[in-house]
Amino acid sequence: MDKQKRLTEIIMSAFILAVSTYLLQIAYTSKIRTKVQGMNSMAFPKAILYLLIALCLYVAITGVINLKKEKSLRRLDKKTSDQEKSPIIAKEVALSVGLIILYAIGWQFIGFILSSILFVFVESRILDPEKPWWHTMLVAAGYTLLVYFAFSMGFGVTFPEPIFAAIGI
Amino acid sequence: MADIINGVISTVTNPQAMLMVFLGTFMGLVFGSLPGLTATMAVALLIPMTFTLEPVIAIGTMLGAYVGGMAGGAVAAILLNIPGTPSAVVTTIDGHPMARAGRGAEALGWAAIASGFGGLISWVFLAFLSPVLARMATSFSAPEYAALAMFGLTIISAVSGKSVVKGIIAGLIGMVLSFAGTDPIWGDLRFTFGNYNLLSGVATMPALIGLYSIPQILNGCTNKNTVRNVKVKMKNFMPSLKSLWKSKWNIIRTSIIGVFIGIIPATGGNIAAFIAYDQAKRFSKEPETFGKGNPDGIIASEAANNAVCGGALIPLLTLGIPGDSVTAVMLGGLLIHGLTPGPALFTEHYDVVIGIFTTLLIATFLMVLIQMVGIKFFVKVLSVPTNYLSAALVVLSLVGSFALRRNMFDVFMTIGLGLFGFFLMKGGFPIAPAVLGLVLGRMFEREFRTALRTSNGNMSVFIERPIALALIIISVAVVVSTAVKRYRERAKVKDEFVI
Repeated sequence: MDKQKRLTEIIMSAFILAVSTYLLQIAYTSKIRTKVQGMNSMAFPKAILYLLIALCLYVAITGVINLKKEKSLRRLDKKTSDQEKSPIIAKEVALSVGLIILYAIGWQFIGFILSSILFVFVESRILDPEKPWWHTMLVAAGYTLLVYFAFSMGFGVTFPEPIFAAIGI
Repeated sequence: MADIINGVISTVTNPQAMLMVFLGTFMGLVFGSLPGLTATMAVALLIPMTFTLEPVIAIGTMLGAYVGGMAGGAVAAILLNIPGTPSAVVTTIDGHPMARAGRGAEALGWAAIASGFGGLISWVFLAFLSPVLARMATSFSAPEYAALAMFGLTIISAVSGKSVVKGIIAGLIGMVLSFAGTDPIWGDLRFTFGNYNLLSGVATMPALIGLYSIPQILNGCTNKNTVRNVKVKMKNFMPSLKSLWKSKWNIIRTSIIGVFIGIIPATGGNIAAFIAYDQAKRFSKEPETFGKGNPDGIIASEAANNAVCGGALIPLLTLGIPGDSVTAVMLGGLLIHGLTPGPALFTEHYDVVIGIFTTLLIATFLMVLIQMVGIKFFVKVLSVPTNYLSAALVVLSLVGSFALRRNMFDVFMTIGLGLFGFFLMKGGFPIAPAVLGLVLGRMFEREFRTALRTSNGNMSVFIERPIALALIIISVAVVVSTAVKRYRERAKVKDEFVI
């Protein structure tokens, strides 16, 4: 397994372990009915969380052991491939993630239409800056309006549009 | 039989009926193939649009959307590794590897043909065995449901890929997600963190979109080798008669699985697809090729999920109990047209029942025909440049999450789960088991605890009921055989410390 994948495996196992422990703590401290016939509300979750914690510990520990083993094997093989040097998360992906989060937040502040046009435009330019900007803008606007009308007229979905609502449209 | 033949002739010779069923099927295929849209949405959209039509034509249109929607999910699953509908999750496992290997047209062809056969076989059960099978459905109670859910959860081993431990972790994560909300027995609030949006739990569709679509879209941002512009040649699309004959048992077996899962209320295409995939792998002479582009995997998934269509209609028409979420929406459609499903439907509106059988059959044929003729259209839609497609899919995915409950919480949950799913994939954790855990975890806990309560805590309730016992024995056999197989595989590996 390459180094990035192994590291991600260890980090994710540790993360799930931490979250599971937190949820287990909530399960023990939650106000629930305990004097009930049969299993109480948190019995199942507790059992599953204990199992999850045990398995994540196992994956994390074996991941660390394997990482050390693979590291020493890589030292023997002096070639370091480009893949080994590449980051866990690529620049385009990190930018896209940030953009997606901003886009979702944007729905509530500038509305669905404007934030979608902006998002499609910016995201498309990040992934392929070669395309002419006007072409990208046309696609962004056209697609957004198509989705907007299809869902608002077809499904009766009311999208958040605070700016248009404030103007009176 | 004569009634059915007469029904077919009268429908085929009715231009309005044929046109509406065609439009419904086409719409279902389009909705199914676009991630973020589902067959349920298509049917829900058609209810008001078909209000003024005759009942048989209206219901036939909805059935077309149902059948098309279930089949359409395979297109995006194969070409983009993003299931168009929940029931196409399993199709990604072998479908996308085939597309990456330049066999996308073949994969799409198998999906279409398997969907057609699955629909046809389920139609036979619907048309000729409805009352008998409906009686079987009524014998299902908490122990049977719990055993079925348990059996479904053992399928995690089949969809875990190389690491079963990571697959189990993913499955358990799905189950933990399913615990959020109100306890099904006592009504206590669990893991809601004071947020009223979590009172009814984590919604399945936003979670599925988050876990499946967002990671694939993010992966596609850097993957220049993502399959685009699959050159679809008709001769590659249609499987040969020889390969069709070779796959006959897989098609029949998985279709029957789909029918029976569809008959059981509150299940659905995704459960059927998972179970069918596992069975296809177990019966295969080359199980190690599953997950790497084996058409049998696609056949199993698509035959089963389309066979659910006919199966789910059986409890709907005979008992008024919907078999899955789409038929639950369709129940509303029936009621709007003055038709009350149940035993009386067969006596008071027999012509409508024959009409339903007929239009379902026609929709199944049209579904295959439209795909054969129009597959290039679907491929073109999904072959736009990566930069535009990624952005468009994000918009559609988030809109799809929002549209369900008109709730921004679902949108943020989709994004959160999407990021989580992305890093899970990066760490080599499979996503399919998480979906399985989410869908089945809730059902398993609810039915297991209900069974224990009604039997006063006596576990023998699972052994005393034959169907439940049979399912438990099969589940144990599945787990043991998988463990033995993995142990033998690991014994061959000398140096690597495999998880």
